[in-house]
Amino acid sequence: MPIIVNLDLMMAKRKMSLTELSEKVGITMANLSILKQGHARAIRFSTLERICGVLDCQPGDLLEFKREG
Amino acid sequence: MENQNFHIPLSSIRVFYLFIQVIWVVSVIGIGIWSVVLPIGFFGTPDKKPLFDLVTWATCFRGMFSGAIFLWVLYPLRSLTCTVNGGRPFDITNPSRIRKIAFGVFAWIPVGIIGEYLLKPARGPITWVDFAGVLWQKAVVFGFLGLAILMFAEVFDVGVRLKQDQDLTV
Repeated sequence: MPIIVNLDLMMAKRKMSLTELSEKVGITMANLSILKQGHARAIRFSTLERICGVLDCQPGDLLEFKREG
Repeated sequence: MENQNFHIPLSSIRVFYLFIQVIWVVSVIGIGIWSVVLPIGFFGTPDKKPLFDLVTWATCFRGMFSGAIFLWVLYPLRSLTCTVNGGRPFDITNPSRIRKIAFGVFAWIPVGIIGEYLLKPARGPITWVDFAGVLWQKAVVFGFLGLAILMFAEVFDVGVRLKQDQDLTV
Protein backbone atom coordinates (compact mmCIF):
# COMPACT_ATOMS: atom_id res chain seq x y z
CA MET A 1 0.00 0.00 0.00
CA PRO A 2 1.45 3.45 -0.89
CA ILE A 3 0.37 4.91 2.46
CA ILE A 4 3.02 4.21 5.10
CA VAL A 5 2.12 4.43 8.79
CA ASN A 6 5.03 5.78 10.80
CA LEU A 7 3.44 5.08 14.15
CA ASP A 8 6.40 3.03 15.43
CA LEU A 9 8.74 5.93 14.54
CA MET A 10 6.67 8.44 16.51
CA MET A 11 6.33 6.01 19.42
CA ALA A 12 10.10 5.59 19.50
CA LYS A 13 10.59 9.39 19.41
CA ARG A 14 8.19 9.84 22.32
CA LYS A 15 9.60 6.72 24.06
CA MET A 16 6.14 5.26 24.40
CA SER A 17 5.24 1.58 24.39
CA LEU A 18 2.31 0.08 22.51
CA THR A 19 0.58 -0.78 25.79
CA GLU A 20 0.93 2.77 27.11
CA LEU A 21 -0.28 4.27 23.84
CA SER A 22 -3.28 1.94 23.65
CA GLU A 23 -4.26 2.85 27.23
CA LYS A 24 -3.89 6.59 26.61
CA VAL A 25 -5.62 6.56 23.21
CA GLY A 26 -8.34 4.20 24.36
CA ILE A 27 -8.15 1.62 21.57
CA THR A 28 -7.20 -2.01 21.88
CA MET A 29 -3.69 -3.36 21.41
CA ALA A 30 -4.98 -5.52 18.56
CA ASN A 31 -6.25 -2.52 16.62
CA LEU A 32 -3.13 -0.52 17.35
CA SER A 33 -1.02 -3.42 16.06
CA ILE A 34 -3.11 -3.54 12.87
CA LEU A 35 -2.40 0.16 12.40
CA LYS A 36 1.30 -0.10 13.29
CA GLN A 37 1.93 -3.01 10.93
CA GLY A 38 0.17 -1.22 8.07
CA HIS A 39 -2.66 -3.76 7.79
CA ALA A 40 -5.42 -1.23 8.43
CA ARG A 41 -7.67 -0.36 5.50
CA ALA A 42 -8.96 2.85 7.05
CA ILE A 43 -8.49 5.08 10.06
CA ARG A 44 -11.19 7.18 11.68
CA PHE A 45 -10.57 10.88 12.14
CA SER A 46 -11.47 10.44 15.82
CA THR A 47 -8.75 7.78 16.25
CA LEU A 48 -6.21 9.89 14.37
CA GLU A 49 -7.12 12.88 16.51
CA ARG A 50 -6.59 10.92 19.75
CA ILE A 51 -3.26 9.43 18.58
CA CYS A 52 -2.00 12.86 17.48
CA GLY A 53 -3.11 14.28 20.83
CA VAL A 54 -1.28 11.65 22.85
CA LEU A 55 1.88 11.63 20.71
CA ASP A 56 1.77 15.41 20.30
CA CYS A 57 2.29 15.30 16.56
CA GLN A 58 0.58 16.11 13.26
CA PRO A 59 -1.28 13.57 11.08
CA GLY A 60 1.48 14.06 8.50
CA ASP A 61 4.03 12.79 11.01
CA LEU A 62 2.12 9.52 11.24
CA LEU A 63 1.14 9.01 7.61
CA GLU A 64 3.33 9.15 4.56
CA PHE A 65 2.60 8.63 0.87
CA LYS A 66 5.10 6.65 -1.20
CA ARG A 67 4.50 6.03 -4.88
CA GLU A 68 4.58 2.36 -5.82
CA GLY A 69 6.86 0.92 -8.49
CA MET B 1 -12.98 -1.93 14.87
CA GLU B 2 -12.46 -5.32 16.44
CA ASN B 3 -13.66 -8.59 14.96
CA GLN B 4 -16.95 -8.97 16.69
CA ASN B 5 -19.82 -11.38 16.33
CA PHE B 6 -23.33 -10.10 15.85
CA HIS B 7 -25.76 -10.94 18.59
CA ILE B 8 -28.62 -12.91 17.07
CA PRO B 9 -31.67 -12.81 19.33
CA LEU B 10 -34.12 -15.71 19.65
CA SER B 11 -35.72 -15.46 16.26
CA SER B 12 -36.70 -17.31 13.14
CA ILE B 13 -33.01 -17.97 12.45
CA ARG B 14 -32.69 -19.99 15.64
CA VAL B 15 -35.86 -21.93 14.88
CA PHE B 16 -34.64 -22.54 11.33
CA TYR B 17 -31.24 -23.64 12.68
CA LEU B 18 -32.87 -26.23 14.95
CA PHE B 19 -35.14 -27.33 12.10
CA ILE B 20 -32.15 -27.84 9.77
CA GLN B 21 -30.28 -29.76 12.47
CA VAL B 22 -33.24 -32.13 12.87
CA ILE B 23 -33.55 -32.60 9.09
CA TRP B 24 -29.80 -33.23 8.89
CA VAL B 25 -29.92 -35.97 11.54
CA VAL B 26 -32.97 -37.58 9.91
CA SER B 27 -31.27 -37.45 6.49
CA VAL B 28 -28.09 -39.07 7.78
CA ILE B 29 -30.11 -41.86 9.41
CA GLY B 30 -32.12 -42.13 6.17
CA ILE B 31 -28.94 -42.55 4.11
CA GLY B 32 -27.84 -45.33 6.43
CA ILE B 33 -31.12 -47.21 6.04
CA TRP B 34 -31.26 -46.47 2.32
CA SER B 35 -27.74 -47.81 1.70
CA VAL B 36 -28.84 -51.15 3.20
CA VAL B 37 -32.36 -51.36 1.76
CA LEU B 38 -31.49 -50.35 -1.81
CA PRO B 39 -28.95 -53.11 -2.62
CA ILE B 40 -31.13 -55.74 -0.90
CA GLY B 41 -34.19 -54.54 -2.80
CA PHE B 42 -32.38 -54.44 -6.11
CA PHE B 43 -30.17 -57.53 -5.94
CA GLY B 44 -32.06 -59.57 -3.35
CA THR B 45 -30.44 -61.77 -0.73
CA PRO B 46 -28.99 -65.27 -1.26
CA ASP B 47 -32.30 -66.89 -0.29
CA LYS B 48 -34.69 -64.25 -1.71
CA LYS B 49 -35.35 -62.80 -5.14
CA PRO B 50 -35.01 -59.03 -5.72
CA LEU B 51 -37.86 -57.21 -4.02
CA PHE B 52 -38.20 -54.33 -6.48
CA ASP B 53 -39.91 -54.41 -9.83
CA LEU B 54 -38.95 -51.91 -12.54
CA VAL B 55 -41.38 -49.18 -11.42
CA THR B 56 -40.28 -49.40 -7.80
CA TRP B 57 -36.67 -49.41 -8.90
CA ALA B 58 -37.26 -46.35 -11.10
CA THR B 59 -38.92 -44.55 -8.21
CA CYS B 60 -36.00 -45.46 -5.95
CA PHE B 61 -33.55 -44.27 -8.57
CA ARG B 62 -35.31 -40.95 -8.77
CA GLY B 63 -35.39 -40.75 -4.98
CA MET B 64 -31.67 -41.47 -4.89
CA PHE B 65 -30.89 -38.57 -7.22
CA SER B 66 -33.29 -36.25 -5.44
CA GLY B 67 -31.78 -37.30 -2.09
CA ALA B 68 -28.25 -36.63 -3.35
CA ILE B 69 -29.23 -33.15 -4.49
CA PHE B 70 -31.14 -32.58 -1.27
CA LEU B 71 -27.99 -33.36 0.73
CA TRP B 72 -25.92 -31.23 -1.63
CA VAL B 73 -28.23 -28.33 -0.73
CA LEU B 74 -28.69 -29.28 2.91
CA TYR B 75 -25.01 -29.53 3.87
CA PRO B 76 -24.01 -25.94 2.95
CA LEU B 77 -27.39 -24.75 4.27
CA ARG B 78 -26.61 -26.37 7.61
CA SER B 79 -23.14 -24.78 7.72
CA LEU B 80 -24.67 -21.45 6.74
CA THR B 81 -27.28 -21.54 9.50
CA CYS B 82 -24.55 -22.58 11.98
CA THR B 83 -22.54 -19.44 11.19
CA VAL B 84 -25.60 -17.19 11.19
CA ASN B 85 -26.80 -18.67 14.47
CA GLY B 86 -23.28 -18.21 15.86
CA GLY B 87 -23.47 -14.49 15.11
CA ARG B 88 -21.19 -14.60 12.05
CA PRO B 89 -23.55 -14.06 9.09
CA PHE B 90 -20.82 -12.45 7.01
CA ASP B 91 -18.36 -15.30 7.39
CA ILE B 92 -15.96 -15.38 4.43
CA THR B 93 -17.14 -18.89 3.39
CA ASN B 94 -20.86 -18.07 3.33
CA PRO B 95 -21.12 -16.62 -0.22
CA SER B 96 -19.64 -19.82 -1.70
CA ARG B 97 -22.02 -21.90 0.45
CA ILE B 98 -24.99 -19.93 -0.87
CA ARG B 99 -23.72 -20.43 -4.44
CA LYS B 100 -23.51 -24.19 -3.81
CA ILE B 101 -27.14 -24.13 -2.64
CA ALA B 102 -28.13 -22.24 -5.82
CA PHE B 103 -26.35 -24.78 -8.06
CA GLY B 104 -28.07 -27.58 -6.15
CA VAL B 105 -31.42 -25.92 -6.86
CA PHE B 106 -30.48 -25.59 -10.55
CA ALA B 107 -29.59 -29.30 -10.60
CA TRP B 108 -33.15 -30.04 -9.57
CA ILE B 109 -34.38 -28.87 -13.00
CA PRO B 110 -33.03 -31.84 -15.05
CA VAL B 111 -33.53 -34.31 -12.22
CA GLY B 112 -37.14 -33.14 -11.75
CA ILE B 113 -37.85 -33.46 -15.47
CA ILE B 114 -36.19 -36.88 -15.74
CA GLY B 115 -37.94 -38.05 -12.60
CA GLU B 116 -41.29 -36.78 -13.80
CA TYR B 117 -41.27 -38.51 -17.16
CA LEU B 118 -38.42 -40.80 -17.99
CA LEU B 119 -38.34 -42.76 -14.75
CA LYS B 120 -42.05 -43.21 -14.33
CA PRO B 121 -43.16 -45.83 -16.85
CA ALA B 122 -46.59 -45.99 -15.17
CA ARG B 123 -47.34 -42.46 -16.40
CA GLY B 124 -47.72 -43.59 -19.96
CA PRO B 125 -46.24 -42.20 -23.16
CA ILE B 126 -44.62 -38.79 -23.11
CA THR B 127 -46.28 -36.12 -25.19
CA TRP B 128 -44.45 -32.99 -26.26
CA VAL B 129 -47.14 -30.78 -24.74
CA ASP B 130 -46.77 -32.49 -21.37
CA PHE B 131 -43.02 -32.40 -21.61
CA ALA B 132 -42.99 -28.71 -22.45
CA GLY B 133 -45.34 -28.07 -19.51
CA VAL B 134 -43.09 -29.90 -17.07
CA LEU B 135 -39.98 -28.26 -18.52
CA TRP B 136 -41.57 -24.84 -18.11
CA GLN B 137 -42.80 -25.61 -14.60
CA LYS B 138 -39.45 -26.96 -13.34
CA ALA B 139 -37.36 -24.37 -15.16
CA VAL B 140 -39.46 -21.47 -13.91
CA VAL B 141 -39.77 -22.61 -10.29
CA PHE B 142 -36.25 -23.90 -9.69
CA GLY B 143 -34.61 -21.52 -12.17
CA PHE B 144 -36.22 -18.52 -10.49
CA LEU B 145 -35.37 -19.86 -7.02
CA GLY B 146 -31.75 -20.62 -8.03
CA LEU B 147 -31.27 -17.17 -9.55
CA ALA B 148 -32.77 -15.52 -6.46
CA ILE B 149 -30.38 -17.50 -4.24
CA LEU B 150 -27.44 -16.54 -6.49
CA MET B 151 -28.44 -12.93 -6.05
CA PHE B 152 -28.35 -13.41 -2.26
CA ALA B 153 -24.84 -14.88 -2.65
CA GLU B 154 -23.79 -11.64 -4.36
CA VAL B 155 -25.37 -9.63 -1.53
CA PHE B 156 -23.45 -11.70 1.01
CA ASP B 157 -20.26 -11.23 -1.01
CA VAL B 158 -20.65 -7.46 -0.69
CA GLY B 159 -21.49 -7.90 3.01
CA VAL B 160 -18.30 -9.92 3.58
CA ARG B 161 -16.20 -7.24 1.87
CA LEU B 162 -17.86 -4.49 3.92
CA LYS B 163 -17.30 -6.44 7.12
CA GLN B 164 -13.62 -6.97 6.26
CA ASP B 165 -13.32 -3.23 5.66
CA GLN B 166 -15.04 -2.53 8.96
CA ASP B 167 -12.84 -5.02 10.83
CA LEU B 168 -9.71 -3.37 9.47
CA THR B 169 -10.88 0.17 10.21
CA VAL B 170 -9.09 1.49 13.28
